[in-house]
Amino acid sequence: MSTTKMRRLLDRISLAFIARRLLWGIPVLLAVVVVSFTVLRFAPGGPFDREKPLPPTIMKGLRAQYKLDRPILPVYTTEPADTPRGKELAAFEKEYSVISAGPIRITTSPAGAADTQLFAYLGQLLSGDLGVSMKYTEVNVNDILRATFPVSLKLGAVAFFLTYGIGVLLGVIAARFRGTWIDAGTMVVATLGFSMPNFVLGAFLILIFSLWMRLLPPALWEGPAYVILPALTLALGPATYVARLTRSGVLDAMDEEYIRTARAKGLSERRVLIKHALANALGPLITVSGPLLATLVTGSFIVEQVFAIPGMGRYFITAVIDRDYPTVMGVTLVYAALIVLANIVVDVLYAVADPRVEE
Amino acid sequence: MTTGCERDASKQATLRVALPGQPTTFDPNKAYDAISGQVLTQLHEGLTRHDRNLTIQPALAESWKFNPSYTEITFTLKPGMKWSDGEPIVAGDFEYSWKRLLDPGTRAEYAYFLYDIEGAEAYNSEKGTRDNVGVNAIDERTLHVKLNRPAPYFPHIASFMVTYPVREDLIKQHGDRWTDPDKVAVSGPFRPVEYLQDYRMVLEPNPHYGLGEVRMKRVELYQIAEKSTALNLFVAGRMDLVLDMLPLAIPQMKSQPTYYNGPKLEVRYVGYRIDKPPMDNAAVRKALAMAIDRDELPSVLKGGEIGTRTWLPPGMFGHAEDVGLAHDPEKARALLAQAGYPKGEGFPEVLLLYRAGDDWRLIAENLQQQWKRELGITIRIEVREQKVFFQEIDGESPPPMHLARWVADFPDPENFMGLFKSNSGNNSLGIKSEGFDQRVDRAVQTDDRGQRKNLYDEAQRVLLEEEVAMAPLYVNAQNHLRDPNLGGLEFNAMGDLFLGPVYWKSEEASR
Repeated sequence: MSTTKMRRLLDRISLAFIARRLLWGIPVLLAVVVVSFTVLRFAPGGPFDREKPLPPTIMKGLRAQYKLDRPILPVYTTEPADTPRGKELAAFEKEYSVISAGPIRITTSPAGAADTQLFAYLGQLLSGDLGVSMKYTEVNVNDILRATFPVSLKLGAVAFFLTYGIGVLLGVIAARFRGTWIDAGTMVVATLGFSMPNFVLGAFLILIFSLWMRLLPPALWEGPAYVILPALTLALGPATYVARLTRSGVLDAMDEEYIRTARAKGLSERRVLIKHALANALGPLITVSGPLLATLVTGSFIVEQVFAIPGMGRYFITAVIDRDYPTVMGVTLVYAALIVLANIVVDVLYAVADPRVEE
Repeated sequence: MTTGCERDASKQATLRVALPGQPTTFDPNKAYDAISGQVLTQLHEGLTRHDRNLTIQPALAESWKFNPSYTEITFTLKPGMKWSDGEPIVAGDFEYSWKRLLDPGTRAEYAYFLYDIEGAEAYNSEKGTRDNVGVNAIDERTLHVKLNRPAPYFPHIASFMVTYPVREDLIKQHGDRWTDPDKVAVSGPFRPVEYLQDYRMVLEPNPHYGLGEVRMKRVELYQIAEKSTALNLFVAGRMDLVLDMLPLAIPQMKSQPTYYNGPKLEVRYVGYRIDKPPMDNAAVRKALAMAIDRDELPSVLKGGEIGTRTWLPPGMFGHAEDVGLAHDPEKARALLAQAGYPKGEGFPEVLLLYRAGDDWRLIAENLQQQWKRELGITIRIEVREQKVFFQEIDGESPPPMHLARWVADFPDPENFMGLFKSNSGNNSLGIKSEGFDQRVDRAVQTDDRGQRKNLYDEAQRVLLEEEVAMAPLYVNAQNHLRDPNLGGLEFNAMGDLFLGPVYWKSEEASR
């Protein structure tokens, strides 16, 4: 690698580049927070709607404690004050403060915009506080995530390496034996694996490895042996996808002149395949790796539920069912932040792996 | 693996339990869900508790005494009872706990449980003061309770988890974190030593427990929301007790010695909104109730349920088999014709709302079929997410019919009948019947069982045969899996779980 090339590469992955991308992440996360917060609050049913209705004073107290008695969003209108709708809004505005800006009147609660649920939440976020869970009312969401995220992270990381290990291996084998029954067989397995839902796959693996062969535990989270089945369940689906990407990438390269050159130089077929053809498939593999990693490490509801793993993934579903607003927001934020980060890492890797990519 | 051998030795005294989900709190005063209850009964004791026949037995109380009009009750605590940190358990711990339960700032869902106490409701609804609540520790072992109406069932109330004693000093010192394993002091057979959110709690015997020998050296309470997972773990020999097992597997496990089936004080019913057409017509409500063959439901649900047409379930005082509308399709058709819908013609597509869950769906579908078959009417069934369901049932425009249940908080008719009194906060049917209210109120003013039973029979007839505010469907069952080698494990119809006396029979033999 010449010095100019080296410098170009370093330019591409300069700190400024990364910093710029990180800065762009802020508005993205803000949009995620505002949209999910609003949609969630407007969904019917609330965290304290229970089978036995709470007495009015208790309900009132809880709503005040969690600020649910405040307006959700600042309301604005351009409606003239003399129309029926305008009058309705004017009545509403009496209770709330109004900021007028030309034809636009911004209506908020008495203490101003900061007193709406959205702004109160944003303010709280700035201080790093995700709030107290509305289901487990003595537990802070920060603590829930601190306890559960490392579990999902560990499981997801193992699944990620399994995904690429299995996927690339299958893809290379299929490409090497293109057109033979091995190729066809591998791709049939890959299609099956891709279309099989997680819970079916998990049940199959438990049946075979735990209940029949008694080799691995059917569930729980007590040590390395407990990671294998859930990680496989998580990995097999995406692995088949990776296998097909690898196969087509390698096959595309096989017809290129540089491969012919490599063969002509007398390199073994294995070296040609691994060193040269596989490099061609790297681009798409890296592209999908970012979102895949983010998805895997934030945990899967089904896998964590079926294997009784104390991870973060199950909160994506249970917290929504419970209308546990702070917890839903917490897991959503972690997921969104990881997607943003993973995409930055992918862009950096992309620049490193493929020198042809110019800015 | 060096631990293999140690584990086998210690396994003798270890019990692994799969709870059907996550407890929401370990604070007795704030608890409201059954799973929290299953954990709390291992950690705490109340003044009283229920035995396997639901008879009330002394626990931390040695005895109790009512005044002749049942408006005052005095509990005497057993001598020498201690918290897990060695401090004595005193009447003041109960007084503090009960006032804390009623404190509006605690925001306890079950605060209304003590509304029979003088000044309790006022304090809880911010209209009275703490000092005017009629519960007082006279001395270290005497707790005096002043009631605002006769409540001969009160010893039952003193068994419920929300009334367990709590420690003022620890709550003052640690705030919400006082229930952490390293901070809490408990009064029950076990103390927590480790808790992992959403996974498990590990218990060890409370060294100061004074109500019997604790045999297990270690109890692991796993929280396993997925019932098939709990089943897999049990089959693989990694759980000793699975509470609330997978219903689908019941037919397969039925003949095994590991299977436990027993009754539960839980009645499921169709609630009518009696002020909404066409349900405002009593003939329609009767016709729908009489068209239901209750014996079909257990055959659909397959969990050992028992069809019922009465409101007070079997196994509880006050149960009367012959009360309520019997299955009579002929009469049902006649009633529907009388209401203006001969052969179901012109009957609107009435909505029956139910909440998410396989069992609820099966009930709704079965009722829809039965009504179509017997009455020729089409009922629309719709499902809602739990939270949305609860909101709609108690909202401004409730559905004409919904599927509901009542699970006993304490095994006395007052708990079931009080639900449908005009002033009840849990009354989702809109029934307001003076005849019903009066009988239910009179029934608690006497301890004469014959007289009480007559009043409850009459009240049930008003509810089920005259007002027809709802149609009971079936009494639910408990289905558990347990290692047949476990001794001392008893279930009662309240679903109480007491692991204190549980032991391994094999260990017993080698003793």
